[in-house]
Amino acid sequence: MNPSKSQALEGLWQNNPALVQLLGLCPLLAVSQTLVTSFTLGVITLLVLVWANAIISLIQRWLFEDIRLPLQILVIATMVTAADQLMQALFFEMHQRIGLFIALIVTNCTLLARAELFARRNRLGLAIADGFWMGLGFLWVITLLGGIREVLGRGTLLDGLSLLLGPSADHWTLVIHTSPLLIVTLAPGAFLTLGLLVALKNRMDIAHESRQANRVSDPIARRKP
Amino acid sequence: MKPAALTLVVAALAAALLIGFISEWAKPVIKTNQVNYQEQVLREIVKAPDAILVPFAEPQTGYYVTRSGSAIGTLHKVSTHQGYNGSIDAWLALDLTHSIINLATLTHQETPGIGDIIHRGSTWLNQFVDTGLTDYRYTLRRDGGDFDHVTGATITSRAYVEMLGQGLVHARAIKLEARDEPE
Repeated sequence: MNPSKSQALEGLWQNNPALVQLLGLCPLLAVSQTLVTSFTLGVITLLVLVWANAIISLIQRWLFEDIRLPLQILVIATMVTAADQLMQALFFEMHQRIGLFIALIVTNCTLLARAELFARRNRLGLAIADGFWMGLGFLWVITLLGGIREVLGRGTLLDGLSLLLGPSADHWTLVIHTSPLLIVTLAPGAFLTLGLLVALKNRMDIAHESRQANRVSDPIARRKP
Repeated sequence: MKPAALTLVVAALAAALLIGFISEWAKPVIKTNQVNYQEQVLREIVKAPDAILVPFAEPQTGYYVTRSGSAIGTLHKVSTHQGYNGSIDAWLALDLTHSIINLATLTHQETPGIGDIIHRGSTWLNQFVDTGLTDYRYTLRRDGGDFDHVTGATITSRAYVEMLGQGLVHARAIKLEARDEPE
């Protein structure tokens, strides 16, 4: 498998930061009440991750043993602060809603983990690709989580889209049903939903593996040698 | 100096410079956003886009709202620190009898998702429309008052209701008629 394809598979599925590494749970669980806020936080995390990985890859020769961690955190914190400022300037109303959690991206361990495990040992191109695919892996999981929790917990979908796209998107909110399950909106619901997603992923992996095993134990395949 | 220490210093300076530049660019834009946002919210809650807003005399923060020369109400800024996190700022639009025409939260740092009940136009906020001090007690029903709280957001609910009550008490001290419009 070529390296970029395997990087994509790693980030999106096999080593997904949210479903397998279980990193960044604080923002993952706290912001995933609705699809739109989840998606926004996911995108900002993705951008910060790409930039942080790129810069850390570029400065890897100065990452001396004693100062490696503080320097990496400095880079990540700088990127997050920049993203926070830019968001206040460009998406003010959205920032009003999830601004508190932008600053918390610094504490999203996905970023430090990718810097420490990957970016500081690899060349620029690979580090950027890693940031992108890991970020995308986080993005799709948090968006799915937000979507599920919004539908079950509130009975709507796409609420608050106008905060991103302007007032014309106000009527795009879909009302799916009118019997919301409060627990899904609260913290326990976040853990439960994520747990079910992790279980589902593992289930799919096991099913996939046993299919592969069946293929090997297939009589025709076995007769071959 | 050791190379490691030097590196850290240089990196910190570079980071500070970068943030400084971005912040220099963003600050006026953010300021404009805040002003626009506030104005948009105010016009929305007085339900009169063509209204003229005349600021109160210090130290109260608020506006007399007049339309075609006659007073239709007042706008009051209220805030509290009793919420879950940081301060909650909101605007109250009152009619001439000191009843709430409408209200909107301007800024808050309550937990996203859970504290969302205080967002503009929420069902929970709508229970305050058309209420006033004469007929309502501004505490939660569970505290012996007249308003519902939201499960999971009791602290936010309580802070908000009490903020409204205090705002209304302060508002009574304001003369209802607008001052003469500035010539």
